[in-house]
Amino acid sequence: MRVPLSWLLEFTDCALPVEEIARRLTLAGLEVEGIERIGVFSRDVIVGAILGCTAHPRSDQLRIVELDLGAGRRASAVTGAPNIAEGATGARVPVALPGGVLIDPKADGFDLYEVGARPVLGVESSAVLCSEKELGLSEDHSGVLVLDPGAEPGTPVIDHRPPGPDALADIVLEIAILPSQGRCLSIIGVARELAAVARSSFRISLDAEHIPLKADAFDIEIRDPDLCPRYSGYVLEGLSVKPSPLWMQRRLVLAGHKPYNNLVDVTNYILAELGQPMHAFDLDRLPARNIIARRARPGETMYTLDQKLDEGPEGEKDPPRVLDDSVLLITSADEPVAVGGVIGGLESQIHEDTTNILLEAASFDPISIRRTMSLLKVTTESSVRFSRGVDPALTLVALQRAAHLLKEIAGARPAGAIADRYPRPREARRLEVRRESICRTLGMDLPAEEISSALARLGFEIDAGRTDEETIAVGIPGFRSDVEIAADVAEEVIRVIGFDRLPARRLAEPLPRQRRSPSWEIRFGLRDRLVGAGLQDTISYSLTTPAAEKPLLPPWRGDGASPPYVEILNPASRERTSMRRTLLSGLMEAVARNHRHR
Amino acid sequence: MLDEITQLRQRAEKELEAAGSPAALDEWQARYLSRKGEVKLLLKSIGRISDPEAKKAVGREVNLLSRDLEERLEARRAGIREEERARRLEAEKIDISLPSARVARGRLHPVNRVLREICAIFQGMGFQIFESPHVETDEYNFQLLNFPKHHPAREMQDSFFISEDLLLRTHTSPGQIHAMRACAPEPLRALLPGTCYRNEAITPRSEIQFHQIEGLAVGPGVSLADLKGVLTEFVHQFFGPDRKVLMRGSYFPFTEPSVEVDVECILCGGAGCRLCKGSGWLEILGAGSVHPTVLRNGGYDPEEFTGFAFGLGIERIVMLRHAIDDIRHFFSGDLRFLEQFA
Repeated sequence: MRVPLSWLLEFTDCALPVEEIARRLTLAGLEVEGIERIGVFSRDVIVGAILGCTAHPRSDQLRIVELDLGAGRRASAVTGAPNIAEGATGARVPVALPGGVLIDPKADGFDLYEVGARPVLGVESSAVLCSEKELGLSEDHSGVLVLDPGAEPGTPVIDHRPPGPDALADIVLEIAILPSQGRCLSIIGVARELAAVARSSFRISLDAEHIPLKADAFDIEIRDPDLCPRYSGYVLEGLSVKPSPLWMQRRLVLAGHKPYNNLVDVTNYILAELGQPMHAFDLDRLPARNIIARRARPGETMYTLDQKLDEGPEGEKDPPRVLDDSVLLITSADEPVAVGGVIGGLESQIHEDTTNILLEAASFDPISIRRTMSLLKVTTESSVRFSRGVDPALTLVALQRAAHLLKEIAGARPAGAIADRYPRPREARRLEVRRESICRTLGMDLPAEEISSALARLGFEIDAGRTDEETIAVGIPGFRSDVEIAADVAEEVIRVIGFDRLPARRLAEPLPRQRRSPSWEIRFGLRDRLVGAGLQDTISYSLTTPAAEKPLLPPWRGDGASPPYVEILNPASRERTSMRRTLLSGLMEAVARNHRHR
Repeated sequence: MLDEITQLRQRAEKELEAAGSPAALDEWQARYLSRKGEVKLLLKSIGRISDPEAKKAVGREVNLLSRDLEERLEARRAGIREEERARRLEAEKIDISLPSARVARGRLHPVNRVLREICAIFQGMGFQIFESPHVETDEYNFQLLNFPKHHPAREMQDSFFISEDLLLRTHTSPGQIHAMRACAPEPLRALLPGTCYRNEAITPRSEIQFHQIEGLAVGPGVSLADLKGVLTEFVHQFFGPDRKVLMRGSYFPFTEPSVEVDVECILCGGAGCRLCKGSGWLEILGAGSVHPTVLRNGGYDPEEFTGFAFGLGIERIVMLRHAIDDIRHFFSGDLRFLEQFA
């Protein structure tokens, strides 16, 4: 998952350098696999001194520029910037080398591009002279940014032009999220983790509309609450579909999402920010003004929005998806309009002319979602989040946030109320944990106070009335469905306190009764003797075929035409379908292979 | 008659001297001393002598001749043998200061060598080897290890199935359950080496068959701190006493807390290089405290017992140690690969 630093720091004021942020997150279990530096933050964006500037042989608008990059390095770039001409010799300019990622100055909206060496009208250009826009410093793309004449070639441009708070450039963390970390599939989730381990503040203050709840605001029925525990819907009318503003496109692109239009982008924005997947239906394209969440009937079919109805070059359409009764459908007038929590339907999706929408924010059972993803072979940002568990409390927050954003960027006038169906509200979970149990699991002596404060940093509520020196009573937040037992709590405690504080002990336990392993010893003893006799020890595949072994085994005299084999139902290849009955098959293969080379 | 004897003796002795080989001696023996030989003929002709005194005298002379010739034959045979031997000793003289002929040298497969090395380190800490079958039930391979239903690792495409309930083990972790059930409720330190199978595309990075080794310790007070200490000991003995060790959070269904243990990069010493992808650390071990559900499934009461478990992939360790870039070499049986490991 891609986490833009500027977005992350909206929710926690952590002042640590990005490498340290990455290190702390990795230690806490959120492995930062890469740090992408964009625009002026890039290490490939350095100061260059112009040594010479000549006209491009094939174009009056272009110039070929020779650059001194310090430490004896040179590069040559082709530029069309109007402020770079013969008189520019000696000027210091920002130079982006291959591998650097810049803001694309020609994109409608926001996009990035990677610098590579390439020919420009026949002349090789191995660098890019950057404007402020490409560096992400401002929107100015009128010409190449000219730096202070004293700027030393080879030094990072950022030292000379640090970005301001409104910069478009950013640093993006690439974090590997594990199956147990559903709560971290959002900027706010990662911010909470960072605040806990870096001891920085954590605040969620989001602009949202205050919208009341009213049961009959929309006709919604949940027939299978096991698969769909909560469904919240909200109608917005009078919208206009157009591209999202730059600031939203930028955040989406940095976070790895593709901008489409303001309506779709808002749902993706909230998915990235809050971790609550949403779906927007074109209200006028729904078969009726009602929603029923129910299991599909066996054999029921539908088209999803990733499919095409047009005929391909050979004249065939995509066949519709075939469902079974394990799939939870969102239906309208009994027709499927979405595969709940996974992917929306084709016909009711947002179109260019959409003006009225039904916004959905719901909760789905993780196991059912995983099963459906596997059945339909579909993976979406929504389904990944639901498969790891999303706090049902987020649906209302998400709708109110969406309403606000759509008011800002799509002309929405939020009116009416949210229709919320939550037949069996999840009860707040509490857990009482003995201090002794935590200390025994970890192997370190921690006072209850330290345990409590570590948990509080992660959003656990400490019930002071039921907590004392030997017992800690915690309220488990809705976004921590993964915490159920004392061992889970111990893990949270050590993650916040830091594994580096864990002592390294060497099993002071009494030695258990020692046993020998005769089979192991005999086999290794045999290997030693054979190796001593000059034979080469080898290891071959356990899987082979009965046909390959037939010439190597004595004639079969038992029941059946051939000896019984342990057969693999789903072999990886036709040569490896059965467990071997003799070591000779592998050895013969090895002999044959070596014979070719000797 | 006596003249004939003397002539025969002279002739025989002369030819005997000239006989130079065992074959020639056999020929001489046939000519003179065999049943049809000249001495026998002479003996027969004694019958023609009428005078009994003369007959006795001649007979005595012939017998003497026969005995003499036999003795000379033997002497001559011995003589020829001696000559033969002397000739051979001269011809086959060996320079004993020369080096000996090359002796065929076998080697252990690098995986077996490293397996033994790793086992020795943990055996030194009281861990005992347990082995369990390659073919496992779904129950032992997944369910008893706390893998939830529809966990990504359980999808058909990752495991080799024999039937709906039987598969080739995808990790050595089922051995934890076998070992625990065999020992509960006594404390235990088990080492579980073995071959594992995954249904993956065979590429330079991944194989369908590989070796893992797991460790498990269960006792009244076995903690995460013990895990840290034991694994640090292992790293120092296997990779060197100055190697730094890093423990960080992770996730496995059968441990809680779960950790990854990294070792300082053996190539760059932590500075960052291609091997460690710039991070300075190499991931080598997945580990953690045994999940209470797994302890219970093993026959231990989690209120009384705690435990830790760890696992590592042998091929990966060997590849790191020897800068091998293609995992497929391990099962190739190719001597050009195997003979590089001293």
